[in-house]
Amino acid sequence: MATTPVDIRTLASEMDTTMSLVHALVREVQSGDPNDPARANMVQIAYQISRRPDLTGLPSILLRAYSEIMEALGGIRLSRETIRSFALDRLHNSQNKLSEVTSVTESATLELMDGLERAISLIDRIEAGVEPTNGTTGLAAVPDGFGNLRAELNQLFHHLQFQDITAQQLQGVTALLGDIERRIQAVAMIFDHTSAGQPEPELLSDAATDSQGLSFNPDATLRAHNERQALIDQAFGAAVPEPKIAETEWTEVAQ
Amino acid sequence: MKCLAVDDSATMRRIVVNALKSIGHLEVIEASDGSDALAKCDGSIDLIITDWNMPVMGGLELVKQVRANPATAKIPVMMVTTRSVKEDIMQAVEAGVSGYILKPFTPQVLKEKIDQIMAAASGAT
Repeated sequence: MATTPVDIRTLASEMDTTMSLVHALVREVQSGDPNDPARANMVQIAYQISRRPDLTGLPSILLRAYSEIMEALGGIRLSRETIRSFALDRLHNSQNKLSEVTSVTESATLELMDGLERAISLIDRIEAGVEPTNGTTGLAAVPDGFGNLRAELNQLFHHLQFQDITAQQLQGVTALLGDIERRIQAVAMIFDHTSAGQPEPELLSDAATDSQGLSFNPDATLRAHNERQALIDQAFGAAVPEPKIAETEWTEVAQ
Repeated sequence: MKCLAVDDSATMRRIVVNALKSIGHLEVIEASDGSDALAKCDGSIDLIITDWNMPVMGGLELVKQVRANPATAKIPVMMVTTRSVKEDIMQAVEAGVSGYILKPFTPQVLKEKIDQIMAAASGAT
């Protein structure tokens, strides 16, 4: 059966009263005549009790212990909630972001390699074109060879944008890990009785971070790029200040 | 046409400059954040291309300041960013952003958007 705080306090109060009565009784008995044979045994017992530690402080010790146990339980509860709400979901999110970084890096690398292979192939063809032994005459053998090569090299520049996206994703994960570290330290402070201060309340609450003021976008992604650009174009195409895009469309594309 | 490319990422600045040059805009000035851009933004600038998330001063604040200054208020501003949530787009529209491109972009998309906003800007004047 669960004991409520009210029961504990009542019990402590009763114990306090009982101990005071016992203490008064011992003093009363002690004050009697030790030569009275009828009381000699009682006086002896009272003497022995009085040599024991003073138990009148016991109720307040129990109350204090109870209060500390409740505080610790509250801390554990808070920690569990804090870790669940801040750490687990966000760590899972970080995991997804790191997976995306891996994937983006790999696909950009492949695109770059493809572009380089095409560029090398073009150079080979241009070189062959200017080779007088192959029967063709100069660059005419490769129509717009240099133009195509320039286009390929410009495409390589375009593919390098992955660095900006992944850098922002990694900065986001780094900031997140730093935030989780600070919050876990704040949770640890709850249990640290030697610590001078209490954790800042905002570290224990779900304060959503506004990324507008950051130097990076933690939500940077390559997912659904064309769909998102289409919605943006639609919003900018509208002649009114507020983009007229259905809420569901944005939500679906953002996920 | 004189363009001002604003991005805190040196990589992105070079990519934007390369893209602009590949589509024929040879005169490009670079700035590393909104504050730096404001210092370089004078009456000779025809187009600003800016990132959103930057240290010191972000792209949205840059747009607001450009619009608030009569000397620069009419310069078209293109936002090139990874931000794409609805609230961001609404804020960009309200701040007076002329065009909006999601990263990564291709030079072709950049050219289309620049043509659109320059046409709109010349029509408005």
